[in-house]
Amino acid sequence: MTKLVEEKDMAGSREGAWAAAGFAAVLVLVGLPVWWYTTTVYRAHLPYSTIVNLSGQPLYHATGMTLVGETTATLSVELEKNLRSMQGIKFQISKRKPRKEEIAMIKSAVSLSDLDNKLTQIMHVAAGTLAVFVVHEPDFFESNVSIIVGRHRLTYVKPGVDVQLLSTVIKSMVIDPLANKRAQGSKLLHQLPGMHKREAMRQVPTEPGYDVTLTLMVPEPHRTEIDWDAKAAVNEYLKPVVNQLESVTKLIVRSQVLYMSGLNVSPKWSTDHEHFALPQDQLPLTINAIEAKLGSFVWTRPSLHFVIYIPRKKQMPLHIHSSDGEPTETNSFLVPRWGGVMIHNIPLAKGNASFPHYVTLDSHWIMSTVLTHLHRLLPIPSLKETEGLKILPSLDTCLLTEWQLDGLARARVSYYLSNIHITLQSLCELVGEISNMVISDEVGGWVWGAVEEWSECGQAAREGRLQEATLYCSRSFTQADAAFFHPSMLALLYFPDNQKYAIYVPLFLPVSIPVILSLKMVLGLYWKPSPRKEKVE
Amino acid sequence: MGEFAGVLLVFLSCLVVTGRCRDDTFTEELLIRPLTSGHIYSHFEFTTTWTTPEITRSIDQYRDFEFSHYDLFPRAFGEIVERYHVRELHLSLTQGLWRHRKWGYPIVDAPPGAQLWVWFNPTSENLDQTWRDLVNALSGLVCASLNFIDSTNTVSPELSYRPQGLAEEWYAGNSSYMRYAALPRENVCTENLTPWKKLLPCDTQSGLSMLLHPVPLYTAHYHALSLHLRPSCKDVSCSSVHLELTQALSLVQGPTLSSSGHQDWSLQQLFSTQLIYTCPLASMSKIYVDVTGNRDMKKFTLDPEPDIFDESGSGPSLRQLAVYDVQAALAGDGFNIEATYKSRHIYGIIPSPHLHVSRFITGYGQEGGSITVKFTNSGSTSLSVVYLEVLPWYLRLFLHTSHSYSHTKSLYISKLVTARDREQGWLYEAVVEIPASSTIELSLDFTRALLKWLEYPPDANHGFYIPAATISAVLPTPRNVSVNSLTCSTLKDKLVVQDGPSFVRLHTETLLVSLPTPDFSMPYNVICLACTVVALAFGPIHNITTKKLVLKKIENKESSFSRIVHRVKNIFKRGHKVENDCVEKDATKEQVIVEENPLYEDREDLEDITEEDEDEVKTSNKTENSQETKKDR
Repeated sequence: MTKLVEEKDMAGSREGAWAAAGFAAVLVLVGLPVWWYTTTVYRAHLPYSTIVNLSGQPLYHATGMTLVGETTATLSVELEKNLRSMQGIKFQISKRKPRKEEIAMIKSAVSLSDLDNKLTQIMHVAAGTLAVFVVHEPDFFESNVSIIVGRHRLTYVKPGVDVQLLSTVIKSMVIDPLANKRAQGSKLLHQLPGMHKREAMRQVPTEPGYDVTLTLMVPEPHRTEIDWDAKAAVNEYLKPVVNQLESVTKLIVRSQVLYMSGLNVSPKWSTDHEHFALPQDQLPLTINAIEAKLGSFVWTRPSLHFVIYIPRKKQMPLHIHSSDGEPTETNSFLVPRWGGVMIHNIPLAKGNASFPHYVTLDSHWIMSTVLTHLHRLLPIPSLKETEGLKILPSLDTCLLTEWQLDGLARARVSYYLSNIHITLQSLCELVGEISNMVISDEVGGWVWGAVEEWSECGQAAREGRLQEATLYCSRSFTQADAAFFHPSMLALLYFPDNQKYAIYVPLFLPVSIPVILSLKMVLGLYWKPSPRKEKVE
Repeated sequence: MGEFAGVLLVFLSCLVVTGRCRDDTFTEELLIRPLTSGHIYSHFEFTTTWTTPEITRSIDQYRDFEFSHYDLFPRAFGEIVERYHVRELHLSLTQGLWRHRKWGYPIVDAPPGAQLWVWFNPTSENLDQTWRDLVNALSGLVCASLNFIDSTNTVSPELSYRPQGLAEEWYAGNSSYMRYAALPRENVCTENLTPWKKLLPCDTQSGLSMLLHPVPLYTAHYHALSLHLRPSCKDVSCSSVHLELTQALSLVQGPTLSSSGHQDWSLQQLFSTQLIYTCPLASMSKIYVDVTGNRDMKKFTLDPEPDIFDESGSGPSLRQLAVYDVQAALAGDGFNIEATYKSRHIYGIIPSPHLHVSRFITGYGQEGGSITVKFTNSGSTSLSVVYLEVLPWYLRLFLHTSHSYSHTKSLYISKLVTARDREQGWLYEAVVEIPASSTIELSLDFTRALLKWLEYPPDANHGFYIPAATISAVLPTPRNVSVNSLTCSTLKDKLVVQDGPSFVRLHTETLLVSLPTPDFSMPYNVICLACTVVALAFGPIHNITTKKLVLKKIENKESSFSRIVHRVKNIFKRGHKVENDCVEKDATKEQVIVEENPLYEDREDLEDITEEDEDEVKTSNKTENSQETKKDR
C-alpha cells in the first residue's frame, strides 16, 4: 500500500487535485449563484427595526388647556392632579389672567350663548385645545349650575367649582371614554363590564371613509305609496354634519328605496299596548333578509346602513319592545358596526279608501334618529346634563360642537395608531414565518411610507397637533392596509416543497457528492506534498 | 316660456294623477312569438327610465353620472355606472345559439357566452384601467367570470359597435371611447339569473318576473340574459332625454308539440307558473302575442281573448300583435294565456332571411387551418356588411392570403390590429360587399402558436373557444326583422317595424380550436431526466479529469489461508484449464492495471482485487506447469 502511494506519479496526482479544485470552484462560483438567483424569493427590504422601535413609542395625546380667570392656585393644582390619572391623554395646563377686552365682553354680554360666540371670536382657542373660563358674574349661571359647556372649545365655571366634577367633564369632553379604552388595547376592553363592552364594540372600525346608505323599505308598494324626499332630507340634516366631519372622516351619503322586501320578523300582538310587539331578541335576525340587497360592488369602504322600515299592513303598528316588555321610545335599534334600523309606522288607510294610499314620512324624526345612531357608531364624545352641569344648546341641533369634533379626531388617531401597529407587526411576523413570501418593491414602498407617516403621526399626537396627526395617520393606515392585503403577498404561499426537492435531488446529489469527496484530494495538495516533495527530490 | 308652461303642466298633471311625480318609470313587457320551426320565442323586457336635471346635464355634456338617491333604478348597478365613467353599457349572457335561418332575426342578438361592450365618457383617467376595474365590478354584480376579460380579448372596433343611444358624431365616431370583449366559454345559469333579478324593482315577488322560474328557463334551446344601459330620447321629437336601463331575457323553447301534433302552448306550460300579482311599481305591464298572418285566428285561437289587436306596417313590415294588459286582466286569480292550434304542425321549408352567415374552421391536424365565413345574400340587391373578427393572439393569422378576392367584388378593411403575444388579440374589421342572391366565402388562414405550460386552461384538450364574429348590415327590407328602430324605449314601440332599410347585427357561431397540447407531466419528467443525464455524465467526467490510471506491480503475497483457498480452487479449475489456456497465457504477460482511486478510504478492496488477479496468475502458472508435466508423461 505505502509502496503504491510512493510510486504514484506525483505530477499526475497534482493535476487531478487541481481538476477537483476546479470542479469545486465552478460549482461554488457559478452553480451556487445561479441556484440562488433562480430560486430566491424576492424581498424588498423592510424597516423591521423601525417598526419594533415605533411599536414601543408612547401613545398619548397632548391636550392643551388654558385656565383663564382670577382663581386660587389650588384650582389649577387640583385640576392637574385629577386629570393626570387619565390614560392616553396628557394635559398641559396653562394659566392666565383675563384680558381687558375679555372682561369688557363679559360685562357687556347679554346672555351666555352670546358671550360664548363673542369670546370664541377674540380668544382663538386653537384646534385640539380647551379653555376653561372662570366667570365671576353669577348672573350667567342658574342656581345649582356651576359648569356650563360652550358650543366651541370654551367651558365656563363658577369660581368655587367642584374640581372633581370639572375634571370628569373635561375627561369626557376630550375623548369618548370607551373609545379611549378600546384604543388602548383589546385587553382593557375585555375587562370592561358587559354593558360597556357592548357599547364599545358597537363603534365602527376606523377607516378613512364610510358609505352611508339610507334605505327606505316598502314591503307593500301596492298598498302604500311613500312620499319621502330623501334628497331634501339629506341636504337639510345630514349634509351639515358631513361637511363638519370632512376634516376627520369622509362620509358619502346615498339613499335607495327597496320595494317588495321586508324584514323577516314575526311580531306578536300586545293587547296591553294595542300594537304589534317586536321583542328585542328578534332584532339581530331582521337584517339578514335584506343584507343581499345592500352591498356595493364598487367601494371597499365600510358601510353604515340606516334602514327605514314601513311595516306591512298586517303588522301595523309595530313597536320594538325592550327586554322588560315595554315599548322603546325611539322605535329604532342600533346594529353594532353596521348601522341602524328604525320602524316608521304610518297611519292606516280608511276601510274603503282606494289603493295605493299616499303617505308622507316624517323626515325630522328619521334624520334625527339617523344622527343619534351615527353619533353612537362613531365615537363622538358626549355629555349628559347632570346636577351642576349645563350644556349650551347648539344653534342647530344636528351640528357637532368643536370639542366633539376634536374628541372624535383624538379617538380616531388613537385607533389608527393601534391599528397601524397591529397591521405592520403582523406583516413582519407573517414575512418571518413564511419563507417563500414575495415582497415586491411596491409593497415595500408602502410599508416604508406607512412607517414614516406612522412615526410622524405619533409625534404629532404627542405634540397635540391633532389635524396633522389625523392626516398622517389616515395615510399611514391606508398604506399599511394596502401592503398587508396586496394580492402578491399570497402568490407563493402554497408552493409545494416536495416539487422543489424532486428537482434538486436528481441533479445536486450525484453531482455534489463526488465533488465534496474529491475535496480531500484538494486538501492533500496543501498538507501532504511537503514531506513527499523531499522524497522525490 | 312655452316649454316652461309645458313642464309645469306635466308636473301638475302627475300631481293630480298620482299624488307625486316620479322621475323614474318602470315598464315590463313580454313578447311571445310562435316560430315556424315549431319553437316558441319569448322575450321579456323590463325597462327603467330615469330623468333628473343632473342626468340630463350629464348626458348632454358627456360627463359622468352622479346618482345619490335611487328609487327604481338599482343602486348596485348605478354605483358601477357612476364610478367607472360609463355612458352606455351592453352586457349579454347567452346559452345556446340563435338560428337565424330558422328563427329570423331576434330583438336583441347575442353571441353564445358573455359579451360586453361599453362606451365611456371622455375622461382623463386611463381607460384601460377603468375597463379592467369595470369588468371586475360587473363580474361581481352578475356572478359571471367577466374578470377574465383582459387586454388580450378587448378591442375597440371602428364600425360594428356604434353607440345605440344618444351620441353626437364626434363621439360616436371615436372608437377610443369604447371597449368590446366577448367570452365565448362563459356558461350561464341560475347564479347569473338571481343577481339579474335582484336589479328589478319588484324582484320576483310580482309582475312578469314571476314567470322567470329557473327550470324552464335553463332547459330552453336558447337563453339570453342581457342588460342594456343607454341615454335615449324621451319622445319622438327628442326634446328631453333620459337614462334607460333595459333588462331583457330571451328564450327559445323546444317544440311544444302535443301528442296530436299541434303546436299548442300556454304560459303555464312555457314557464311552469302563472301570473298571480302585478308589479305595483310598473307603469305598464303588457304581454304581446305575435299573430302576424293569424289575425283572423284561423291558425290558432287565444284564450282569453286579447284586449286589443295591434296592426302596423304592410307587406314585409306587417306585424300583428295581440295585446294583453296584465294589470287590468289580473283580478285576484292567476292569469294564463292559452293558444290552441287548429291543425297539426307541418315542418316545411322555412324561407331563409335576407342575410345569413355561418362560420367554421377548416384544415386538419394541428398545424394550420383557416376560419371560413359564408355569407348568403338571398335578396335581390347587393349588400354591404361589416364583418368583425376578434381572435386571440395564439392564432397567428396570415394576412397576405387573407380573404381571397376571387368572389368578392369589393373588400375594404376598416380596422386591423395585429396581435402581440400575450398582450393583445387580433382585430379584423372589414366591409364586404355581397352580390345579390349569391353566397361568398371568405377565409382567414392561421397557424397555431405554442403556449407556455401555465397558459393552458385546466382542460386543455377540450380546445380553445374563439369568440363569435359580428356581422352588421343594413337590410333593404324589414323581412324577418323583429326590431328596426332603436330610438324607442318600450318594446311596444320597438315592435312597430318601419318600412325601408333595417339595421341588423348578427353573431355567428363560436368556434373550438384545438392547439398543440403538451403532456402536462412533461416538464417535470424532463427536469428529472435531464438532471439524471447530467449527473450520469458528470460522474465519469469528474473521474477522468481528477483521477489517473497508473501501473501497479504485481506482488506475490500469500498468507497460509489463501494458499489453502487456492489449492481448493485449483482442484475445481482443472477441468477448464484447456479452454482457458491461451487467455491465461496472455494474462501472465499482462500487468494488472489498477485505478488509483483516492475515494476509497483504505485500500483493502483494491488489494482484494489485485490479490485475486495475482491468484489467477499463479493458478495459470500452476496449470501450465501441470500441462507440462502431462506432456512429459
